[in-house]
Amino acid sequence: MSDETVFVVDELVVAPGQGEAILKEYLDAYGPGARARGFTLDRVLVNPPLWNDHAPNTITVSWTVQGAGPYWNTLFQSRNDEALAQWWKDFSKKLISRRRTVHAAAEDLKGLNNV
Amino acid sequence: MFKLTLALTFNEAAQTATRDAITERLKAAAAQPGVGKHFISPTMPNVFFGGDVLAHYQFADEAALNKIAPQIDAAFAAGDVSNVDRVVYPGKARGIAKPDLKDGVYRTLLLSVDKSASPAAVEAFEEDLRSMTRHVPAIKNWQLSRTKSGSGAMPWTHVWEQEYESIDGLMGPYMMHPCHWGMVDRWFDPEFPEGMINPRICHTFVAAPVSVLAS
Repeated sequence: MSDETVFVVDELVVAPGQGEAILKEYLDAYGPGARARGFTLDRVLVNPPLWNDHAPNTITVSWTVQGAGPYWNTLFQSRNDEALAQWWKDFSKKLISRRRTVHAAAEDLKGLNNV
Repeated sequence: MFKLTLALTFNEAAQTATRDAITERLKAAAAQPGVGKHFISPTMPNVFFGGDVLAHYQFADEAALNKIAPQIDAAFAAGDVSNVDRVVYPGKARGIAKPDLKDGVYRTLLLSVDKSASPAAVEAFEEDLRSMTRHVPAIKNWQLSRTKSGSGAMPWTHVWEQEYESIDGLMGPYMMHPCHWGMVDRWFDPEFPEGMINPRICHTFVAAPVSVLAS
């Protein structure tokens, strides 16, 4: 089974002045469970590169999982977690918008698709 | 064409004789005039809320289905089963790459889209599912349908049927291709904003001596 890195990326668009607090809440409340399910924090990026009081910030949080099988394992754990689903519903209300996307390195696509 | 599928889960207390009698009554219903392709088969290991027996019947039209459905539904008593997932849906297979499939595997997924989902989201989800057939050659024959009625553990809204040459096609390429976990699965996952399908699905599969989907 392939073990190419799977990137799970959360993009959080946050109202002016709330970026730092929202990121802290995300990392404190969501982070431990994500790690327990098998995610590893890759990086946190902020755009623009300052906590902005006058315009929204976009916070991009990248997590990694090694391989499609382990990624499925994280999904099987989170899928029926009603508390987690509720946390996302509540947290999403504090955001302007959010996206979650799944990525892989371009050089890994051939291996990932060879199943 | 109209199709009726039942996934029956026996009560643990149901004796073997009771289970066999139910299965025989389901088969007897299939012998009635008006029933086209059909099967009544034990589910394979590793189904997920997939029941013990899967029964599938095809009819030329809804009238023919309605004529036989009472006999099918009367094949089991409420006390002998703990759950019956039941779907009625129209249409026929959209993709038939291997009509002469022999000794393969038939898989069906019953799922329930949240009522609050927008029509555009539902259509996008359906297109994502259909796109899997372009990425996963192991899917030999397939049909994606909206239900006319769906009941049981959930109010099932969709039926996603596929046929494979072997169980390996389902467990390997279908499950592990990135089009599944990296694209389609977002609709099933409450961690994604797009999540709109109840996590309680009925994922079930049986041995298919011949293609059920090919007309």
